[in-house]
Amino acid sequence: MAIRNKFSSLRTLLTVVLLAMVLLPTLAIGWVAYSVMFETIRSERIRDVGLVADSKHDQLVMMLTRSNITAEHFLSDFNVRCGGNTTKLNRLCATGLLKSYLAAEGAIGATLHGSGGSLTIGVAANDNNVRFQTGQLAKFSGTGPDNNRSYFISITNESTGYQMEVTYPSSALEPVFNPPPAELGLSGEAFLVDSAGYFVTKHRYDATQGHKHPISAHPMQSCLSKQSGEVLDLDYRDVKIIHGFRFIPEFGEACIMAHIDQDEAFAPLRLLQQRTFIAMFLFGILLVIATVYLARRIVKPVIKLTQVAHSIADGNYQAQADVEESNELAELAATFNHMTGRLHATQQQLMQNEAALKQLNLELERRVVERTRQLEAANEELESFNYSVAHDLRSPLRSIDGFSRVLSNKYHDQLDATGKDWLERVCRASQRMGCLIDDLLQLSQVARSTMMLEQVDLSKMAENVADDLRKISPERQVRFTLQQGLSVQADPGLLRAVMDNLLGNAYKFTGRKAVAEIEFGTCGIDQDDLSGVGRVSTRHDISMGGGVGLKPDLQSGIGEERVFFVRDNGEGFNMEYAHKLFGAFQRLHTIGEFEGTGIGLATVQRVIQRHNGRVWAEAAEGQGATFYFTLPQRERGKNEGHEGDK
Amino acid sequence: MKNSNHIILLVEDHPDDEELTRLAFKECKFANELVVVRDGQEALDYLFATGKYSGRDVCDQPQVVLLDLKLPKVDGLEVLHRIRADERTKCLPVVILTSSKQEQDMVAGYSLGANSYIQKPVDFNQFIDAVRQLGLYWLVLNETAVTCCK
Repeated sequence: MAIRNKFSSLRTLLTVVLLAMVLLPTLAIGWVAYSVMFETIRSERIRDVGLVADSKHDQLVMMLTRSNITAEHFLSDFNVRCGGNTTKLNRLCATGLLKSYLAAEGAIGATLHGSGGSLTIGVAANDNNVRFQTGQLAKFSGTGPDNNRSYFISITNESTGYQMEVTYPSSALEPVFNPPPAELGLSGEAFLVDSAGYFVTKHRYDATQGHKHPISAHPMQSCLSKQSGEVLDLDYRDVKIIHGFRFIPEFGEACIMAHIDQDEAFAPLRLLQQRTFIAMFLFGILLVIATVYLARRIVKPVIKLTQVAHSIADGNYQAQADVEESNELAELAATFNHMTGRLHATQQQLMQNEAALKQLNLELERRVVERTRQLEAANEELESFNYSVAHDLRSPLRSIDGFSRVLSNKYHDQLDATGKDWLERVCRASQRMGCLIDDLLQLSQVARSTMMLEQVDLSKMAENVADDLRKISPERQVRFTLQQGLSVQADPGLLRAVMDNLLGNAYKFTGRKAVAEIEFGTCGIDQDDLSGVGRVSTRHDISMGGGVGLKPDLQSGIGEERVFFVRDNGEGFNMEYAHKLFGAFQRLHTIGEFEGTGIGLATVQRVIQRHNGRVWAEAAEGQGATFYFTLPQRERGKNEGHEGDK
Repeated sequence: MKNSNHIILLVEDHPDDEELTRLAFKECKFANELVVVRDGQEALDYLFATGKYSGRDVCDQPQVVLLDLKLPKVDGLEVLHRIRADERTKCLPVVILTSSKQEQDMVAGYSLGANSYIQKPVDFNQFIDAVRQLGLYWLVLNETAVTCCK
């Protein structure tokens, strides 16, 4: 099919479009949500580590502050309890008090300075007369790879002038850092490092660093350069961790390090990643299935409609699209079904009409056959009528004429003049009747006989007729002017009837002229497609009346036609009666004036019509008449051409 | 064939025409005996000596037959056909003498072997002329073949 060019079908196209429309936004939103979530969890994890470091710092500061406050209280108490003499130290009292203080504090030594001298109990701070910086609460006794590390605090009572350093073992700090805080999970830990990068409190994992040589990790270096913060980096084990480091000014120079393995801290992220991918994958599959199903569902009615359309194209007008939904496509299908229904009905109607038409045609054919039969019968009847007229009508006339004459001859003496005249009238009447019958038969003959067209020399024919006419009344002075060399393609017998009648009429109606002038000739060629039509119709109106002899529609296409005329200087006639001229039995003169049956011109017209010509007349009373007739030029021209070649 | 008695056989159904023909013959002063038969069947009976003419000598044939075409029972063309079809009469001169000058009648008449075709004119004088010429030709000038009837 033509639709399958880029995409194999509408269904695939729909699937792709639907997929793209749902999948792309989902992917975008999913990715944004995922990355926001990822970032949130990640930064939360990092912040958590920082918070742990902060809390360890606070705990450490709190512990040191408490030790300082206790020491201050001790110094205030000391003057009261051991005599109040600042210049002379009561050593016994002092030793007793210090010992019990150290035991209560868990300290490992103390040194008391006063104006009355110094007293050291236990481990003395290795750094006498040390001045703490502002905010500093304690100081490590030395630094380096020493497992038995200690730190001391230094307090001065301004009113009594006593100063005291109290030394604690570094193990006193352990409760702050160990066990590792729960917030740092199973892999995390927090520990304290001194200013050189050596461990002060215990660490969780075995380490080569921090004992014999300082910890070299980057965060360590950052911290020792008095920075605090959180980073992702490697730890002393070269394991990826989240690092929270805090510089501790309260200890002079020290660092709290808190960390957790990235593996553990970011485990939720990996889980999120996995779940996201699985969800996306499942969603994708689901989406594909859904879109394919949807596309199928949408396209299905279209395919059905297409199939139905094909079916209709193949001529099955009863095909129906079966769509079970209730949407626009279903409406389309319903409309489609309606259309096919209408088509079917129309086709049925057409077929019925065709059948009816066939029936009608058969009926018509039957009628034509019937009419032809009737016509043939009528023709036969006419034939026998003619036969009967020819034989039977004349017979009584012969009797009338014959016996009248015999009577006139044999009983001549017994009849008076009137009787003889009457008998003469009877004879004339019967003879006229005889002529009438002959003319009628000729007219009928002219109408029915088969035409045999051949080259006819009209001039010669006119001459012969003229000769015959002259013999009728040799005493008459008649001048015939006959144009020579006129020939036409026509039936000679029929045309002879035309010439007989026209010249005969001319001869007859010039009977009262001293010198009769009768002319036969041609006016030349009349061309239909030139001015012919207008002229013809004018003539026709004047001379022919009700369309007698003229068939313009038949004329068209014939082309050239020649106009012939027969003119006389006889009685003529009133043009008012011209329309009656060519009707059978129509006469414009009385029998007394001129003899005739009134059939001659009807015969002329019939003959000319059968030759596809026209006939008309122009006349004026007492000024002669001119009869025109035309004959088509068609084949005659060719024949003449051939004759000319010979 | 014997035709010494110079009989003329007139086949004519109408008594008026018969009478006019007789008058015309009389006018022309032909003395031949005129035998008249009224229809085609009677004409055949006469010629072939059958029916009421049985016993007539078949070889005694008329000098000329004047045959009308429109006849009761057997029409003139049929009679002509039978005359020409029979050995005994095929040389018999037959002149069609009828009212019609219809082309088809003339063609049919000559095709069947008519010797002449004459239309009876309405004008009695013309009829007399025609009969005169007819008689002069067929009764006086014409020589009839005598070999037809054995």
